[in-house]
Amino acid sequence: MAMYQSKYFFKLLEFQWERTKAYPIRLIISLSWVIFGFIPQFFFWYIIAQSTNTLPYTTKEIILYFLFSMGLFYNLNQINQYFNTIARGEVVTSVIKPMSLTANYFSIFFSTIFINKLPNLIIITIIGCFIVGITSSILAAIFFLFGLILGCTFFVCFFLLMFWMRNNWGVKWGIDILILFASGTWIPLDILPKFWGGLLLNLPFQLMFYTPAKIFLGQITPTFWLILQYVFWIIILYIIARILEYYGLKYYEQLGG
Amino acid sequence: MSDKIKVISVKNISKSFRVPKKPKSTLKKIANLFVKAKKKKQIIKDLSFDIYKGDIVGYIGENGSGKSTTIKMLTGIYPPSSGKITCLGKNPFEQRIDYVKDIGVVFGNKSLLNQDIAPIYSIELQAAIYDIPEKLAKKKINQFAKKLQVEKLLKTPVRKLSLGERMKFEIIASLLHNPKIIFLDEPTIGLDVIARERMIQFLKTVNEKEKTTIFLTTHNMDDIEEICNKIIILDYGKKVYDGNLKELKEIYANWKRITIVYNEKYNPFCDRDLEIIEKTDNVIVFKAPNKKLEEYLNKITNCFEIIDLKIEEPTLKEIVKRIYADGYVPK
Repeated sequence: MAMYQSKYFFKLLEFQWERTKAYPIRLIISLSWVIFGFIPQFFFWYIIAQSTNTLPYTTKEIILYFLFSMGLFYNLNQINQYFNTIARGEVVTSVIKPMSLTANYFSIFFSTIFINKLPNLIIITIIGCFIVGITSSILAAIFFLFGLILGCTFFVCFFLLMFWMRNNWGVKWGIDILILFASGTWIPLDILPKFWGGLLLNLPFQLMFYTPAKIFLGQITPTFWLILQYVFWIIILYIIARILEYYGLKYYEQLGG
Repeated sequence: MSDKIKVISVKNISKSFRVPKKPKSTLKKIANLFVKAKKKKQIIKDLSFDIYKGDIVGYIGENGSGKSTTIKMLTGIYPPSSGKITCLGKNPFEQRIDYVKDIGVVFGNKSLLNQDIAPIYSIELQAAIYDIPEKLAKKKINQFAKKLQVEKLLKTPVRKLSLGERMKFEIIASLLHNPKIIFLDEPTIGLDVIARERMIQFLKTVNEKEKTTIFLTTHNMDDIEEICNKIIILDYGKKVYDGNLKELKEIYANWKRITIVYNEKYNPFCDRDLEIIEKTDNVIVFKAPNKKLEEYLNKITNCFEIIDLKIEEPTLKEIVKRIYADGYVPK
């Protein structure tokens, strides 16, 4: 079972790569958005780092932090097209496949984001090898992938909620903001006020970005306990997703062909 | 015809959907902005039927009669509100993952193929889902594509294909894993005569060779006449006929269609007692009850100077049209 699902997963990566190749301009636009997004962040944090000495980061570290988070950040935009499949009724083509919707959509989300972010991940890992060292860069890349698995499991839960919410742009936008903020993509969590920082550090979102970024900077050493945290949250979210899938399909109504 | 192994058993199923309800009072209209008022609409009413291995079943009904809803319940997409469905010995909804390994589904307006890339990639992905070895999958894809004459289009982006070509690839994708039952929801929709003919022939071959059960919904009565050995007619969620085509014709086709081409000389009072279906310049189509066929023929030959005369059975389209109009089949 696991064997054939992994075969499907690799085929899906190939499939997503073909899709990306069909419109290479999309990849270029996505890369240029990263660069344009990074420039204001760079100046913003550069000025803050220069004007205060209370920041627990050096100027070089804060720039590297945002190189990592802006280069690799992911949001619902990349997988938005799939969120409408429930409202449009196209989800039925997935329901007739011999795998759970959770596994199917997890594979789709992961492969879509992974193929989109692969060039950035390679570039950042190579740059990191020269600046922060090979070990930190490679470990950060690995933990970014763990974070991506966690993020995609979360996205699947959210996707399955669409059985009840249908196409709710307001909620989607709210989830986007929550992830970007709570994962530390916008602001490093350790510079937030104590209460908020403490709260967010205990939620799973920080494992999606903040932790890999800190590993990249060499400020966190990966431990077995850290890996267990990833595993714990992935299992919890997976169970939630399967429950949502069962009741979502029971609730699902699609009139007509 | 069939091995009499029951593959689909539907027992007294009903399906209701929640549909938006229009609020009448202003207060309710305001409340409706926050919580949408809904009412129940019954789409399928107490439906029962059995289908046996190797059957080709035509499932027909008007728009909104519940054809697609039935297919979705039979394929495990959603459960019935009440009643029981057993397909291949399984409950399609509760045992979905296991069950769908043995079925193939083609939705006429929902594609299994990705529009951006060539169909071969979507079909190969489909093969991976069903754990078909890569070599075997490639062999099968080429074999099916050759039969349906689309082998040269395997690497053309889907968006550049015609509707008929796309539909052929949909069928290839759904047949790769040798399903025991194929559900086809309006597969010939929008196809030209030749494309339709090829697809029908292909399905016939699959049915004969593999004993695959085919469950087909269509509005095209020619499809039904050409391949189906059993038909189920649905009228607003209720089954009005379940049997074979021959029986249906025996029950309902109690009249003949007499078409005459006549010379211009025509006595307008002559056809007063005869039921006419269609009348153009010098062609008249009569509807003659079987019992009065001789009487009709006598009158017609006496009244008209006939150039040509044709006697035919009513078409399935006419029969079904009458069933919809009457709402039942006389037993």
